[in-house]
Order: sequence, then C-alpha cells, then structure tokens
Amino acid sequence: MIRGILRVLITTVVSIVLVTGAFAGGYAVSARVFPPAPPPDGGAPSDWKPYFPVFWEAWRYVHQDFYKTPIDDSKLVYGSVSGMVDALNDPYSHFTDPATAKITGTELQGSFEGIGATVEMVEGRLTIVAPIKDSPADKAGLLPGDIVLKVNETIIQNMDVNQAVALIRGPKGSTVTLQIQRIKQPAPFTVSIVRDTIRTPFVESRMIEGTNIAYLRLNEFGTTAPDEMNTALGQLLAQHPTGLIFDLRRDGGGLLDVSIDVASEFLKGGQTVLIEKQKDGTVQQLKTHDGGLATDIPMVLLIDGGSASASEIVSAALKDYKRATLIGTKTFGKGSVQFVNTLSDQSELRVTTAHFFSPKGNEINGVGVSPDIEVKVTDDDLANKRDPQLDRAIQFLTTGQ
Amino acid sequence: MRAVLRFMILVLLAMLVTFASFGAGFGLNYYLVQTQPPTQIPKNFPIFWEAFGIIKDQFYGTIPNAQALTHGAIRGMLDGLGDPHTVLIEPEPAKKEQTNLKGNTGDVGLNLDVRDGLLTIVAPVPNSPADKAGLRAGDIIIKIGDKDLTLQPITVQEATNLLRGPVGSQITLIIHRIGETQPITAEMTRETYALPTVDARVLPGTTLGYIKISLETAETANEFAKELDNLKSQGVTGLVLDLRNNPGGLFPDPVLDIAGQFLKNNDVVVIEKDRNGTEKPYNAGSRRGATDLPVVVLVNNGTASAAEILAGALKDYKRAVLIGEPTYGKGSVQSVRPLSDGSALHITVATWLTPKHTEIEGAGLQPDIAVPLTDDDISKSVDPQLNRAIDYLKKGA
Repeated sequence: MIRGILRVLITTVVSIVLVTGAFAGGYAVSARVFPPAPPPDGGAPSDWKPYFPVFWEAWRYVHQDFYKTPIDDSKLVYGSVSGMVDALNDPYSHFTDPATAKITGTELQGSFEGIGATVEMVEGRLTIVAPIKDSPADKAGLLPGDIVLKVNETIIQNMDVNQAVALIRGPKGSTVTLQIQRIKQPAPFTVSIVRDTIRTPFVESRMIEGTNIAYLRLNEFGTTAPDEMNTALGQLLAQHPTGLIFDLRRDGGGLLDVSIDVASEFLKGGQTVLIEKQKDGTVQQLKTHDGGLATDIPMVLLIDGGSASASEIVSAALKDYKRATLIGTKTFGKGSVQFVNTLSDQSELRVTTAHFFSPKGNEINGVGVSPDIEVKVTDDDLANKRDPQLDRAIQFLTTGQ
Repeated sequence: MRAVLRFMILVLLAMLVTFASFGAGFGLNYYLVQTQPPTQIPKNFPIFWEAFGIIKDQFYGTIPNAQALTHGAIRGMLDGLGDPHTVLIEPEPAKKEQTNLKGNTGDVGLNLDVRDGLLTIVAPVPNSPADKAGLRAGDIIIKIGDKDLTLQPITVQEATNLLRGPVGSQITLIIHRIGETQPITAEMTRETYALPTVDARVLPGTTLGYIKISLETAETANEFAKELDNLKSQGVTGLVLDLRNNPGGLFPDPVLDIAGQFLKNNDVVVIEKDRNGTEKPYNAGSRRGATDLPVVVLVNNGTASAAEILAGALKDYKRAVLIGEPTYGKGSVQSVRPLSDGSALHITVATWLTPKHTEIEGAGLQPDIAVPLTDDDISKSVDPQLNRAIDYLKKGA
C-alpha cells in the first residue's frame, strides 16, 4: 500500500520534472533558432544607441494600440524629424516635409500664388500686417490688424506661421475662405478670396512731398532686391536730393548676401559689414564691394521691432560706421543665419548655422540694434495715420538735429 | 516479461511526453517572436538620420543629448497621428506628477483638453479659483505664468503640472476668448478645494426636482440614488439633470448606474469601439429609481466625456430631452504604456459611441432644444437654459 503511493509519487515527480525540463529546453532551443528581433535603429549613431530603442518601443505601441487605422507611416516619420528639430529649442531651425516645402519654397523669388497679404503670429493669432496694394486681399477689404481665425475649415491659432501661410496659399484661380475677427467688431465674419499671382515689389521709392529729401523703402531682402534698389537709388539721386531716408521698418530680412549688396550702396568698398561666427569657431568677415551709389549723402535709417535679421545687419553696420542716424525703436534681435538644406526626398531642413556680429563685434542675436534717436508710434498715431518716426527723420535731415 | 513490457511502455510514454513538452516550449517562443509587429524600418526613415547628420554638422547652438532628441522625435511622431490625446509623458514630468499629488499642493480647478493644438478649458470646477476668476468653458489658454504656449505645444499633463503649486501661491493665465479682440489676464491663488458631489433640491415654486452631479468620485452613484429617493418622497413630477460644465471623470462607474436609474432595462449605455472595429457594449446598472419621471438634461460645451455618455444614452432612448448648447465632444479612451526609460505613452485605443452609434469624439452631441447662454445673461445672473427646462417640464413641450 505504502509502496504503491510512493511509486505514484515518484512517477508524478519524475513526469513533472521531465515535462517542465523539456518545455524549458524546447523554449531555449527555439529562442536560439528564432531569436526575438532586436529593435531596429535604422542606422543610429553610436551615442544614440542607448536611448533610441525607446523610440521604436513607442512606434510599436502606437501601431499595436492606436484606435484609428491605417496609420500613415511616412507622416509619422516626418513628424519624428520635426519633433527632433523642435527639441533643439531654436525657433529658426525647422523641418518642412516635401509637400509643404513645395508650397513655401518660392518665397524669396519675388512672386508666388496666394492672396497677397503679409502676416505675423501675435500671441498665437495670425494677424494681417498689411495687404499688398491691389492684391486679392486688398480688393477683398482685409485691413491691417485683422485676425485670421480659420482658413477654410482649419483653425489656425497657435499654428506655425509657415504652416498657416501654406494653407492660405494655393494655385492661381482657386478660392480660399477666411474667417476674420476684426478689432471692435463683435462677431467674426467670413470672406472668400480668389488667389492670384502675387508680385511683391521689394523696393518703394519717392521724393517726399514739399522737401528735397528722397525716401527709399526695402520690404524684403529678396533675390532681385539689389537690382531694384540700384535702379531706384539712381533715379532718386538724379533729382539731387539733400538727404535720404532709408526705411527698414517691418522688414523681416531675407537673404544674407543681399544684405551685403544693400550695405554696399551706402558704404565705401572693402569695409566689414558683418562678422559671422560658425559653430566650429570659424570667423568670417563679409565686406562691402565697390561702386556704392549713396556713400556720402546725409542719411537717416528708420528701424523698429519688425526690422529683423538682414535688416539688422545693415542697421548695425550703418550705425557702427556712423554712416546714418538711426531713428525709431529697437530692432527685433535675430542675429543668426539659417541654411536651407534640401534632403534626398525634397523635404527641407532649415538649420541655424551661425551667429553674426556687427563690424565692432556687437552681438545682435537677442540684443537687437538700438536707435540713435528713439521715437515710438502710439496706437493713437496708428489710428490717425500719423508717422512720427518719418516726421522726425524729415526734421533731422532738414535741421541737422 | 510483463514487467519489461510495462517498463518499455512507461519509457516510451515518458519519451512522448518529453517530446511534446519540448515541442510546446519551442512553439511558444516561435509564436511570441512571430507575433511581434514587423520590425522593418519604415521606408522614408533614413531621412531622420540624414537630418540629424546635417544638424550635427551645421547647428550653431548646443545640441541637446540623444535622449532629449529621442523624446522630441517621439513627440513629433505622435503629433503625426493628429490625435491630441495620444501623448508622451517624459520621466521628469511623470515624477513631478507623483510629488504634486502628495503634500500641500494647491490647484486652480480647471479641466483641460488640447483641441486643434490649443490648450482649451473644458470646464472650471464650480467655486474653484478658476471659476471665481471668471474663466469659462471654451477659453483658450495662451500663457501659464511665464510659459508661452504659442511657442511650443503643450500636453494636458504638462499644463496641469504648471498650474499646480504650493497652496497660497499666485499664478497668472493669459486667455484668448473667441469673440474678444484682446487677450484676457486672469490672476488666481492656488487652493485646495473640495470636489463638489451632488447638489439636489426642489426648484422653488415648482414640483420639479433639480440635480447637479459630479462624476469625479466613486461615491456619486450612491449619493445620486439617495437624493433621487429624497426628491421622489417630496413628490416631484419632473427632473432637471444639470450636466453643464461637467467634465466627466470616472468611467464606467458611476455613469452606468445613474443611466440605469432612468431606463427600463439594462440597456446599452455606451459602446467602446476599438481599432479592429470591435464593439464592446456597456450596459446600464440595476437600480431603477426613476423610469417614468419626465427628465430634461441640461448640456453645454463644458459637458464632456462621461457626462456626454450619460446625456447621449438618455437622448438616444428618448428618455430625456437635451436643452442647452452642443457638448464638448471628448469621447475617447486612452491606455497608458510605460516605456523602458521611465516615460509613459498615453495612447488613444478606442472611441465611444452612443447606443445609436453617434461618435462622441469631435462634434459632440446636439441639444434637442438649443438655448444659448449669453454674456448678458451671465452678468444679469439669469439662466434661460434652466428656465426653458422648467417650461418644458411644465408644458411637456
């Protein structure tokens, strides 16, 4: 009896050991033959290796769990690149996917298809700075200060300004519907605008009425701006003005090379316009070329908080050489250079590659260029269409102080 | 001879069992490996390293470490899904979330959501600092203290962390309100405040009961049952259920129980639909307190999540008339996946449908009778939505 129980017991124990052992053995052999695939890193550099697997972990969970299918992987990849670039915490470095790049790419060429209004993000709200004269936006009655709430059905608040602009732009002849909030109007209204080819004049020039003072304005440091400037300056100087007002207010910059050309019109050849410092410590001095048309005429430069980047290069140089008297308010303070890389799939990567400094070595980034004579524009001035900065410039050139 | 045979059979059997076990173990691993999602690199992924190579060569500033860049990449990848509720919580905030829960932490009382990339107020908690400061459902927060939300998107979890702080400390918010041309500044002092539970009474001059509930505590179902009995004992002839500015809270309880109070059977209250299209119904609880009492449910754009489930079920079964404004439209389910580096992934895994298959996420629910509440009403302390409800219950139309 006892022997029987013992036998059953031994048999059971032996069976359990056998089964468990064999199972574990089978699993182990199988794990050698079919190892779990390591998370792919897709070519991660070695310093990324300890950190990057968590990306694929997240990727995998998203593909396992996310409620909406199918998932557009290429969109996720573009999002990933964008997120990495955003993590640099530099507002000027930016990734643009191929589709968006195609729309925004022609910006500095002087013409594009859209509605023809300059815009900026103010506290997360897309605000019309100014409709370009005779553009569809102008004809539709958009006013400076109008806030765009929706483009077609998309709410654009807090959106990246390039993305918002990409939504507004589109082929000539197509229609875009904007929901607009206008100051002092209780409810937003909707306006439909037919897009057209917009040619942005980079330069505006005239003689100021009742004076012998020439006025020259640069809207953007675009590709054809140097030629336009040269022509306009030639025409102005032919009228023998006694003074020149050069207006860079609200000029957000543009191409770095153009800033050298522009500065060269006012400075003698061979003078340093800016000092560019790269990440590896390389220092480059960019100098004016000869043949400037307006190197002697008494000159006032108008600047404000909207004068940025290339505008600040020219402002800082003219200030350092005391070539012009700067009137207005402090400039924006964007003293960095971006290089736009086109990647192999036609997406665009804009990277901050250098900071620039004035000829005297003053940092511009985060600092800006201060005017010699500060003149502010009040809300009251705007409402009454007064321009005290321009008035002060005329006074300065007329009286010498 | 017999013994030998027996022994042989035994050995054979043992061998068979051993083989079978080996096979089972072998097969299990094979299954586990094969059912992993494909580990192939997405087709255009090389762009990622191409971009990083350029940044490494060219970028003027200090490049954050690989971990920070990886987190950035994950955040960006999740943005690509276009779902505001699928987010990454990094290890640091996850920890801070924990410490904030302990000790003398105050809050301002805002239920938040990210909508179209904007941090939006779902509803202020009644009598909280935010409520007293005049913040409203639908307001968009553009600045919390020094943090400018227009520069970088923010998750609800990050925002909640920023809003919390020591009791008595100050926090300033800048708000954008649709229709206002200027941003609004709201200064608040952080407090600890009690979550409201159930507010029930007989409306003066009527025989109608009024109940306002919070769905944020587990006790609500019992308290609701108690108040309902109490109102019935006072002989009410109709009921106003106020779900305005109710951000929801717990799911599936107490919503299922409260819904059941009004329904005749254990009907489906809400359906959870996952990525495979599988529908999981949730049925009403068993208490049947008010199956015949006429009911009006008050809703507005602060009615969200579990509160929308309740309103949607009562609407679909024509058990209540919805009066007020369209609801918020927050009806998805998130699950949390801890990641190996201590961060956590909140992923939207399912969406809620009302019994008649109306999706709650997005557009929200439409009221049967639309009654807006204007600024003028608020300043005069009149409540046209409640008045319309009383009117409806008195006249039946």
